[in-house]
Amino acid sequence: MNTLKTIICGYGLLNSLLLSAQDKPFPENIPYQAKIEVSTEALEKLFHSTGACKLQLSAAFQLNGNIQNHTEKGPLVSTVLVSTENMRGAMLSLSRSVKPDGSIQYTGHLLRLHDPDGMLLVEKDGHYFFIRAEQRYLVAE
Amino acid sequence: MKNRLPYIFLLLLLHMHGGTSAQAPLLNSYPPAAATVYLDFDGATVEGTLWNENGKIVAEPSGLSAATITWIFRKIADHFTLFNLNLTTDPEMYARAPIYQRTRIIITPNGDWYGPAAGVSAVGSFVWGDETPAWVFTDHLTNNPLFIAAAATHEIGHTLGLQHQSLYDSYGIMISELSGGENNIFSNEAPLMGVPFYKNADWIKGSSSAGAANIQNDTALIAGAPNNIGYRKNLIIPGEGFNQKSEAVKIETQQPGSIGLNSTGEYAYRLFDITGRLLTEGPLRKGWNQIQANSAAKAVLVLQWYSEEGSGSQKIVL
Repeated sequence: MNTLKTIICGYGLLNSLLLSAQDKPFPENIPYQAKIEVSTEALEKLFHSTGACKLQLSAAFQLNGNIQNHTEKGPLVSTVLVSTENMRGAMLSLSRSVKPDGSIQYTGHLLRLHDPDGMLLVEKDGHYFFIRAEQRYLVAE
Repeated sequence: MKNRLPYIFLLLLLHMHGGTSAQAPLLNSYPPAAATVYLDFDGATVEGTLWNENGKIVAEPSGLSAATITWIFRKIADHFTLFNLNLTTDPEMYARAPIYQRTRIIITPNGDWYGPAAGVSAVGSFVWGDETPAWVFTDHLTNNPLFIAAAATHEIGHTLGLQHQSLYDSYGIMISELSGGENNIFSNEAPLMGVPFYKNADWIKGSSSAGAANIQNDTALIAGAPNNIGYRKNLIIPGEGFNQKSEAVKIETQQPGSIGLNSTGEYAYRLFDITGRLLTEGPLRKGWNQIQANSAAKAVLVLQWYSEEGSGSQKIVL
C-alpha cells in the first residue's frame, strides 16, 4: 500500500514539474543567449508593418505579434509598439530617431510587467543586440 | 421634501468643500531649463507604451485641490533646485521640451492596472524619447501630500536612471532593497531612492540595488550623461542669457508693472514670477514690445521667449 502511495505521489510530483517547465515565464521561452544580434533591416521592417506581424529578427529570434500603434513624434522620431504572441504577451517598444548627423538610431525594450527579466536593445559599434536584463533594473517601483 | 433639505444642503456643502478636482495650477520650478519633468495631476489616457499590455489606460485626475497640488509641487521642486531642470504642471512646457530630455509623471488615484505599488517607472525613460510616462498612485499613498511628493520625487529619480539605494550587511548581503536610512539610527535622514516617507529624504551617494560595491552618486547621475541636465547656474545676469537665442530679445526698460524690450524676430513669450507661476503670455513682434507685468512693485521675474527656431530666457529684477 505504501509503495502504491509513493508511486502515485511521485507521478504527481513529476507531472507538476513537467507542467511548470512548460509554463516558464518570459523570457525563458525564447531562445536565450547572452546577446541576440538583430539586423537594422529587420528593425526597420517593423516600422513599415501594420496589424499582425511575423518577423525573423535574427536566426534565433522570431517575433510574432500585433502592431498596437505606430506614432510619429515630429519628423525625427517614430515609435512602434508590438504586442507579442509568442512571448506571452510581452510588449516590444521600439523607437527610431534621426540624429543631428543624419544617422539613424534605434532604442527599445521587450518587457512583460512583473516578470523577473526583460530584454533591452543596445547598440555597439553599429550592431544592435537584444540583451537580457533583470527587470528590476528596467522597471522600478 | 422639507426633511430632505438639510441633506441636500449638506451634499452641496460637501461638494463645494470637496470640489478638489480643479485643473492643476500652472507651475514651473525653473523655466529657463530645457530639460523638463511634467507633473501631470489632470488625468491622462495612455496608449502605446510598455504599460499598455492590457490596452488603453485611462488615468483619472488626481482630485487634489490647487493648494495641495501647489504644496506637493514645491516639495518635489525643492529636491531639484540643484539641477538645470524645470518641473512643470504645464503641458505646453512639456510639449516644447526636447523629446530626449523630458518625462511625464502621472499622479492619479488608482493603480490597480499595475498592482499594489505606490508608483512605477521605466528606469532611464527620461531620455527614451517615446513618451513613456511614470506613475504615482495616490490611493496607495493614503492621499497624503507628503507621501505623494516623496513618491513622485522617487519616481522622477528612476526616470533619470537611478536605481534604489539599498541596505547591506557587513558581508555585502542585501538586507533591504530600499534603504530607510537604517545604517545611521541617530540620523533623521533617508535616501530619496530608498524609503523617503518617514525621514528627511535627500539624494545620497551610497550602495545601490545593483550591489554593495556599486556606489550610486544620485546627483552626479542625474546631472550627467545620458540625461545631460547639468547644474543650475547660480547667477543669471540680466542681458547675459544662457542659450543660443539669448540675444534675440533685449530688455530695454524694467519698471514695476511694465517691461519694454526689443525683439529681433517673432516669438511667443511667457512671463513667470520667481516661484514659477505663469503671470502672462503672448506674442512678441519684431522690434519694440511692451509687456504688462501685473506684479508687485518689486519683483523678480523670468521672461521666456520661444519659436520654432529656438528659445531663450532671462531673469528680470523690477
